[in-house]
Amino acid sequence: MTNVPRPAPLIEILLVEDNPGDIRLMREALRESKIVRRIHSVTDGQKAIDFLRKPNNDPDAVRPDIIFLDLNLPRKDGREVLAEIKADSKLRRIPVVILTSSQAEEDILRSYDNHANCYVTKPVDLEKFMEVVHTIENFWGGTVERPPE
Amino acid sequence: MLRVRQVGSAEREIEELRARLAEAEQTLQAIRRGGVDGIAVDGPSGPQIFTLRSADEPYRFLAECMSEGVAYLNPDCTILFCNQRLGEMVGRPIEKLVALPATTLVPAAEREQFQNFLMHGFKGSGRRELQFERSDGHLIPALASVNLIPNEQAPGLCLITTDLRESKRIEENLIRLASIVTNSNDAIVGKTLDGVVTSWNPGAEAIYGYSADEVIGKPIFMVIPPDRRQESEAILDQIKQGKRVHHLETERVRKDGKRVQISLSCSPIKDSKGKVLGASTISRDITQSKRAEHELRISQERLALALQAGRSGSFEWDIANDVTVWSPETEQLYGLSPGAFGGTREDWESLVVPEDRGGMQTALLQSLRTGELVAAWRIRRRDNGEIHWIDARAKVFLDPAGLPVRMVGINVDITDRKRSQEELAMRAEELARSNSELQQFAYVASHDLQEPLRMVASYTQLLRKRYQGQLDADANEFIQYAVDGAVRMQRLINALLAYSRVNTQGKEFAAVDCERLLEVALSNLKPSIEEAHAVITHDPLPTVQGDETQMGQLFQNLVGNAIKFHGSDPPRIHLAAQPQAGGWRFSVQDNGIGIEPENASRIFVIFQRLHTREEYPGTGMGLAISKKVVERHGGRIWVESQPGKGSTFLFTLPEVTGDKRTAASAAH
Repeated sequence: MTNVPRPAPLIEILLVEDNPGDIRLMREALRESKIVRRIHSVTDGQKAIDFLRKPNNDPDAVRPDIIFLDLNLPRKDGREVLAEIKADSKLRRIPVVILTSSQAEEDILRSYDNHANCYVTKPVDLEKFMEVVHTIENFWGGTVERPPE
Repeated sequence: MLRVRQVGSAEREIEELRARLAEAEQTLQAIRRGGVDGIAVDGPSGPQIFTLRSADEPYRFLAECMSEGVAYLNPDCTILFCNQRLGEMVGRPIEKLVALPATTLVPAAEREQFQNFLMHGFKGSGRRELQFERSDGHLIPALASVNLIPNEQAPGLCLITTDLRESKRIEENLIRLASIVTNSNDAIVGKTLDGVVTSWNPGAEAIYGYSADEVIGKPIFMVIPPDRRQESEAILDQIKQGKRVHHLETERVRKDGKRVQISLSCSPIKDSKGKVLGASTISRDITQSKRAEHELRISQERLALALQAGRSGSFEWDIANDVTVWSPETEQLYGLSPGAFGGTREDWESLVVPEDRGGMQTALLQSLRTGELVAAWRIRRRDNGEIHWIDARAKVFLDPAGLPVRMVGINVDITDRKRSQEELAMRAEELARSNSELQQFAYVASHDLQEPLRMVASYTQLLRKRYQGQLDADANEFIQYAVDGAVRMQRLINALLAYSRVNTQGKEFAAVDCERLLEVALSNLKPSIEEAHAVITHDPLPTVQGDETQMGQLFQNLVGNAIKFHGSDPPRIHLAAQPQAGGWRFSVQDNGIGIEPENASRIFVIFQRLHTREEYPGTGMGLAISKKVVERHGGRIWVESQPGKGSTFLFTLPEVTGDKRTAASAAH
């Protein structure tokens, strides 16, 4: 094969999750990923906003390629974070995946109303959880064209 | 006309006039006394001489004494003589009448006629009514008769007039009285002392039904019922003694046999000497008013009963005099003994709890403006000191000037209503709170309880995955139980959540095609249908009003259960819907293991299981959710079953209100 595929750029993930168990589980799920470069995790909504709004000249400033957002968070909850991201012209193009254990209809509806890119309920079963994470990873990391920087 | 030319001649003239006056006076006296034999009258053809030889003094005196007016007329109808009475009647002194044409006594328009009448007298005599005109214009009715006085030398007429003023007045009075009697609605009956009817007015005819012709001359007893005969005779006895009977209420019998209630007054008819000749009875038909009175009394009694039954009482406030009258029921409401209410506004207010007095005042004052009182206040009952709620409603009546004069209304004890309202409000609040708690619980269950579960399940699984081969069989088994427990726990939580959401997350009802719902349910159940080799048949199913998601879940639960609890034979399941009064009755019949009758109701309770999980897996929530769904749709669900012979689950749903598709048209 001479047609060497263009190496896909590795993606940066922002994980907004207060449960250390879930953060670890996510890291485990993506441990051997060939798509993900780094997972940045923050444990509350305010920290997520701070992370996203770091000035460009800040050496730690990273613009994530995809955001995994839990809904129930301390300080500023995921619903508010979502609304703020989607109301911000600089951030609104970043795909936001709501990853939560809530199956409440009002949460699902409200998330899509606030332009969440998708809504996923965390499966109880580990295998299923891994599968879901890989699906999202492949979909947003490879299948789709992400918005150019 | 007197003119003075010079003093000497003036004195002469006066002297002359005096002499003529004296002469006239003497002539007059002479005429009165009859001492004049003749009289010279100036006429158009010169003086005429009339002699009165025929009228001598006694006759003249006689004429003066008569109560009629008398005049003696010559053939020209000129008055030659008249008496004082005539002068009085026509309102002129007699000396002015003498020598006047008699026709001047009547109004101008009637003179010719009068003249003709007088002329008639020359042919013998005449008699007619006429009216004299007095000098002041008044007309006097009179009866005039004229007679020829045969005298060869000087024939004349004798005019005799009777003043009819008094008799006219009497006649008019009589006519008026007669008219009153005729037009009276009361029966006015005259009778003799023996009870024979002598007069009978139309009022009597109307009340008793007999015409005057039928009763006059007959005994009055024909209208007196036998049981009143004695009373009637007693009345006649009173009359005979000259006494009257006033407003006696009694009964009479009509011609048609019906009884009529009357009020009668009876008076003796006496002659001028006071001798009783008969009786006059005035009777009034009081049947209607008696009935009205009776009905009034009954309705008053009913009102009193209704007021008592409704724990209410009436009141009337005379606003101008600030006096309030309470019915005994109102007094009872306030815990007062009958008649104990003082009647002033202060008395009323003193019974109201102090906090509500201001509001009561305001409501009363406002009602004077609006014309209507709608208010409620709390009172402390005088008898037992209990606080009661009183609802007051009243209407204000205005005088012709528009000022409020009276307020009439009722008071109702609404304590019980208030209490239940308060209780209801409390319950509603409790319900709202428990609903919101349930919602909160539902959310907690859907999120917070699942988090730790997920951790348990995920990490035990991760443990197994990561340490594959390094753990022994026991460790693997333990991990398996932990994972299994966590997964089951999650299912239970989800089932509980679904159960709690039946009412809180229900959708608006819409037309739901049950055929389609069944199709969807069967496609969801496809793996278990295939695994169990289940055969599912159904009759045509109707369209009903409902929540599509929940109805779908209902069908899936019932069919799923029927598959799950099959016996040794492959499941055969049949669904049907029967129309029934007010809706449909659905049935899901299977050939499964059946249920002991004593467990028939247990199965619908949450988490109730009749079998171990190993025998039949499941959360024990399916039928509980099904029951809740059916109940939310206004129906009920039950099971008819015998162990080993299968079960039939039945549920009802109310009538289709939207799409009227029938079972037949929905058939395959």
